[in-house]
Amino acid sequence: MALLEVKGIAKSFDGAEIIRATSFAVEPGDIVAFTSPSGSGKSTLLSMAGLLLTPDSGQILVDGGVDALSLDDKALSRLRQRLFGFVFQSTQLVGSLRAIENVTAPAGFAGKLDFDPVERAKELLVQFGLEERLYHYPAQLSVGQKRRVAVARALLLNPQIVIADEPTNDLDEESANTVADALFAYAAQGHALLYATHDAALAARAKTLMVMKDKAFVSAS
Amino acid sequence: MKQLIMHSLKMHKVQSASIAVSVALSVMILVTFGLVYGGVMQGVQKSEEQGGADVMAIPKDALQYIGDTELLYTGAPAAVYMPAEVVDKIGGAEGVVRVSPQFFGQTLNSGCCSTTGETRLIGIDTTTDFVVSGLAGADQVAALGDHGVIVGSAVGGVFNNTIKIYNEEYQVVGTMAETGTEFDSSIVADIDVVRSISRNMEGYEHYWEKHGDPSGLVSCVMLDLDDDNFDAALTSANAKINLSGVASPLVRSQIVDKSRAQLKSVFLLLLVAACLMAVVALLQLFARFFSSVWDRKSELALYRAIGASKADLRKLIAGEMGVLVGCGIVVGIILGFVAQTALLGVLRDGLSFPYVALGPAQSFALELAVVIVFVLVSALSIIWPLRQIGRLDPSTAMQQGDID
Ligand SMILES: Nc1ncnc2c1ncn2[C@@H]1O[C@H](COP(=O)(O)OP(=O)(O)OP(=O)(O)O)[C@@H](O)[C@H]1O
Ligand SMILES: [Mg+2]
Repeated sequence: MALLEVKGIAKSFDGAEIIRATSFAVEPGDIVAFTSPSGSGKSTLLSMAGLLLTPDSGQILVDGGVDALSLDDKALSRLRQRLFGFVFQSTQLVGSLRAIENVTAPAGFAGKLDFDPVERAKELLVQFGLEERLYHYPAQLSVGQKRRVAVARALLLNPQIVIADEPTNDLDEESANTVADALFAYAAQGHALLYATHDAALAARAKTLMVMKDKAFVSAS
Repeated sequence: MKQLIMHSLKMHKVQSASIAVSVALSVMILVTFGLVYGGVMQGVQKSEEQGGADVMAIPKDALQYIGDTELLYTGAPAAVYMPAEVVDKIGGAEGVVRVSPQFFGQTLNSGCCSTTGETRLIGIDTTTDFVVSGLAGADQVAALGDHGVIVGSAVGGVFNNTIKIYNEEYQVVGTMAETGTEFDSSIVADIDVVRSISRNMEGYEHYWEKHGDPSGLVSCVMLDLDDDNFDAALTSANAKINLSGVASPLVRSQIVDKSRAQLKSVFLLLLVAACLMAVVALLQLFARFFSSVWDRKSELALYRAIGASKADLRKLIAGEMGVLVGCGIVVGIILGFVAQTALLGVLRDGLSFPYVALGPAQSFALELAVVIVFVLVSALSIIWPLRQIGRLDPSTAMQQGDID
C-alpha cells in the first residue's frame, strides 16, 4: 500500500508553468531523490507532495486512497503532522527558541503523545552530536549544527515520510555525511525519504532518482 | 502550546507588561467607579426610602458654617443653636403633619468616652420624634429615659450594652438602621440629657453666653409634610420658617437633587475616563496582536508547516492575549477595591452624600460585568489579527530564509 500517491500534479506561478503533470508513489522504505537545475521547481514539487502547497491540478492520495486535497484545514494539518517531517532548504529554525525548543516545537501542536517530546528531542540531538548545544540559540550554532537541529525537529514525531530540501547544501563533507546518514538511517527503519539535491553523490544514494524532463519529474531509470 | 504562549510573552516582556498594566488600570477605574457609584446610588435611595424629615429648619446663620448637603447627610455636625420657641411658631403651618426639634451636642471621641472614632451626640424630643423612631423603632425611642441612648449602626465602643459618655454610663436601648450617612456614627439621647451634658462642656460657654441656657435652645426642627398636598404644605412650611426670623428651611428633595447633580458630573467624568482607558487598552491590544502576527509571519507559517492548524495558531494568539487580559483583569479588580476607599475619601472631601457599600452579590455582578466588557473588548481587538492567520501560507517555509 502506498504511503503517498502523487497523480499528475502541476503548478504555475503568475501564469508561468513551473511543474508539468508529475506522478510518483512512495512506499515504506522508499528513498527518492529529485534533481534539476536551480530554480526549476524542486522545492515547489516537494511543497506540493508534502501538502504545504496546493497543486493547480492533479491528485494526492494518502493512506491508500484518501484524497488529501479535499480535506479541511484541521484534518489536513493533522495529516501533515502525522505523515511528514520537513527539513527545509533554509533551516527555518526559530531564532528566539533554543535548539531543544526548536526540536520540540512540533509537539506543541500534536496533542497528547505517547512519549516525552523533550526526552526524544534530547536523544535525537545527542545522536547528532549536539549534546553540548541543547540550550544554544540558532544564532550560536554553525550552519551544519543548525541543519542537524532541523533534522532532529523533522524526526521528532516519527513521521512516515521525511521530506528534505537540499539537506546537505552549504555543508562540508563531514557535516553533510552526518546529516545524510541520519536521514538514510531513519528511512532504513521502514520510513520513506524524499529529498532534493544538487549533489550527484547524494543523489546516487537514492533508490529512485527523479529528474526533470519538459518541466515534469520522471524516473531516471 | 502553553510553552509557546509563555515564550512569546517573554519575548515581548515590556510590551506585554504595558498591556497588562493598561488593562488593569482601566478595569480598576471601572470597578472603582462602579463600586462608588453603586454605593452612592444605594445610599441616596436608602436615605429617600427612610424618609425622615421633608424639611429641616435650621438656624439662619448655620449655612455660613456648613453646607446644606452636609447638614442633610452628616447628621449633626455643628454647634448651631436657636431659641426653642421656633418649634411652636413652625408647628402651626398648614400641611405640616409632624414637628420635632433636635439638639446637637458635641462630637465625642475616645478621649472622653468609650466610643471609637468620631461620634456625634444628638438630642431628640422623645414625645414628638419621628426621625429616629423610623430608624430604631418607636418603642426604643420611648424607652430612652434619662440614662438610655440609641446608637447609630456604625458606633463602636458598646460594652455590655452600655456606653460611657463623660464618665457616665448609658444603657443602649436601640440601634438605628444603616443610613449611609454620618448619622450612622451618631448617638441619640433625650434632648434634655444632651442639653445638660453640653451645659457643662468646656469650651461651649461662649455659645450659652450668646444664645442663652441650653434648656431653651434647639439646633434644628424636623418637619414631616402632608404627602398628598406636598407642594402647598411646602410653601406654607417655608413661609412659616422664614417668618420665624431665626430659622431657614432646608428642603430635603432639593438637596437630594442638588447632590445628585453634583455627583452626576463627577461620575460622568469618571465614566469618560474609564471609557477612554478601555479604548486605549483596546487599541494597544489590537496593535500588539496585529504586529505580533505580522512580525511572526514566518514563524507562524513554519508552525503551519510542522502541523499546526489555523485553529491551533488562533489558540496560540488568543491564549497569549488571554494571559495578558486575564492578569490585567485580576489585578485591576483587586486594585479597584483598594481604590474605592481612596476615591470615596477624595469625593467626601468636597461633597456630602450618603453611602451604603455594595453587598457581595452586587459587587460580584459588577465584577462579572467588567469581565464581560473586557472579554468582549479584547475579542473585538483580536478579530482582525486572527483573520490574518487564515492567510498564512505554510509553503513559505519551503521558500524563505531563516526566522529571527
Ligand atoms: N510563491 C511563489 N510565487 C511565485 N513564484 C514562485 C513561488 N515559489 C517559487 N516560485 C518560482 O518557481 C520557480 C521554482 O522555484 P523552486 O524554489 O521550486 O526551485 P528549486 O528547484 O527549488 O530551486 P533551488 O534549487 O534554487 O532551490 C522559481 O522560478 C521561483 O521563482
Ligand atoms: Mg529549492
